[in-house]
Amino acid sequence: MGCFNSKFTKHSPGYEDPVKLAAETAFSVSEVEALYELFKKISSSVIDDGLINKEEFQLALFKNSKKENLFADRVFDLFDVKRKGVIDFGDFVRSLSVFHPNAPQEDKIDFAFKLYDLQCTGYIEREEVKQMLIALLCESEMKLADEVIETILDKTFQEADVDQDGRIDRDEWQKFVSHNPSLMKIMTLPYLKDITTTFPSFVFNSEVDDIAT
Amino acid sequence: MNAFQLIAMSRSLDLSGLFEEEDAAERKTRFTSVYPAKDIVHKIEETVRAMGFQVQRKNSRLNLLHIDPKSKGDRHLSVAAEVFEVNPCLHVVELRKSAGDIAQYRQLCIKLSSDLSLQKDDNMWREKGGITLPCPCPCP
Repeated sequence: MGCFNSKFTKHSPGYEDPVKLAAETAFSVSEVEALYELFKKISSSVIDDGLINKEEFQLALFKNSKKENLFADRVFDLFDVKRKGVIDFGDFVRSLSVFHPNAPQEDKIDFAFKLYDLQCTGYIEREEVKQMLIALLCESEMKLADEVIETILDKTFQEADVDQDGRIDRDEWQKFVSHNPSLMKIMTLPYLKDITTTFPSFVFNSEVDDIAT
Repeated sequence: MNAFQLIAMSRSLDLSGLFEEEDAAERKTRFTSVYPAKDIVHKIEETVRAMGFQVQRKNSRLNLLHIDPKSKGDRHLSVAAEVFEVNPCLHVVELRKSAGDIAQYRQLCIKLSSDLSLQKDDNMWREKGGITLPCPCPCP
C-alpha cells in the first residue's frame, strides 16, 4: 500500500497526473504509467532533471547523441509542445499519443503536415520537400542526379499541388494522403499497444532497473 | 514513387528507436539499383539461397530467413527485402532486419548492395563484374 502511493509523491518538474493524461490521450492509465518509466530513463540520460533535452532525445532515438539531423530536429520541435527547448512528461505523452494505433487519423495527418512544413508557414513548399529529399539521400548514402530529384518533385507536386501554386496546403495534403495511405505508416508505432509489457511500471523494488522485454 | 514515400523511409522518422536497446537505424539499409525490378528480385533470391537462406516471395517483397541449427529460434536472421520504383530505370532496395544477429545482417547488406548497385558516371555506365547494363527506356 505504501509502495503504490509513495511512487507518485516524488516526481520531477513537468510531471502530470496519469489519470488526467489518460483521459486526454489514446493511452490507458497503466500505459501512461509505463510511459513514465520510459520517460524517466530518457530524461535522466544526460542531465537528471526530469526533462528531455535535444541531446537526450537524439540519444534515445539513435543511441548516439552526435547525430544532428533535419528530421530528428523537426520531431523534437513538435514534441516540444510549449516551445521551451525541452520535452516534459505531458508533452511526451500527448505527442506519442498521436502515434498510437488507436489515435484518430486526422491527428496523424495533421502531425505529418506540421512535420514536413519545415519553416512553419502553413504550407509545404517545394523547396522544403527538396531539402528533405536531399537529407534522406545523404542519410542513406544514396546518390540521385539532380534531374532525377527534380523529376520526382515534379511528379509529386503534379499529384499533390492541386491548385498548382507551388506549395501543398493542409487540404491538398489531406487529399494526397487519402490517395497514398502508405504515407501514414510512419505515424503509427505498434509498440505503443504493448507498452505495459515492455515497461512494467509496478516495480516494488526500486533498485531493479532492468526492464523485461 | 513520390517524394514523400522516399522521405518516409528516413530512419530518423522511425520512432521505434525510442523503445529499443539496439540502434534501430542499423536495422534498415537502403541502396539504389539500375537493374529492372524483376532482375533485382531474382538476383536477391539467387544470392541469398546460395548463402543458405529460405525465401518467401510476395510481389516486390521478399522475406528471407536464415536458420542457424545451432541457435534458438529468436536468433535466426530474419530480413525483409523490398524493391521500390523511383522511375523505370531506377529502383530503391530496402532491407529490414526483423530478428537475428546484426553482424550477419550487415554482411548480407554489403553482399547484396555490392552485387546490385551500379555507379553511373556521366553518360557512361561503369561495368561491374563484366556486366554492362543497357537501359531500355529514355532516362533523364
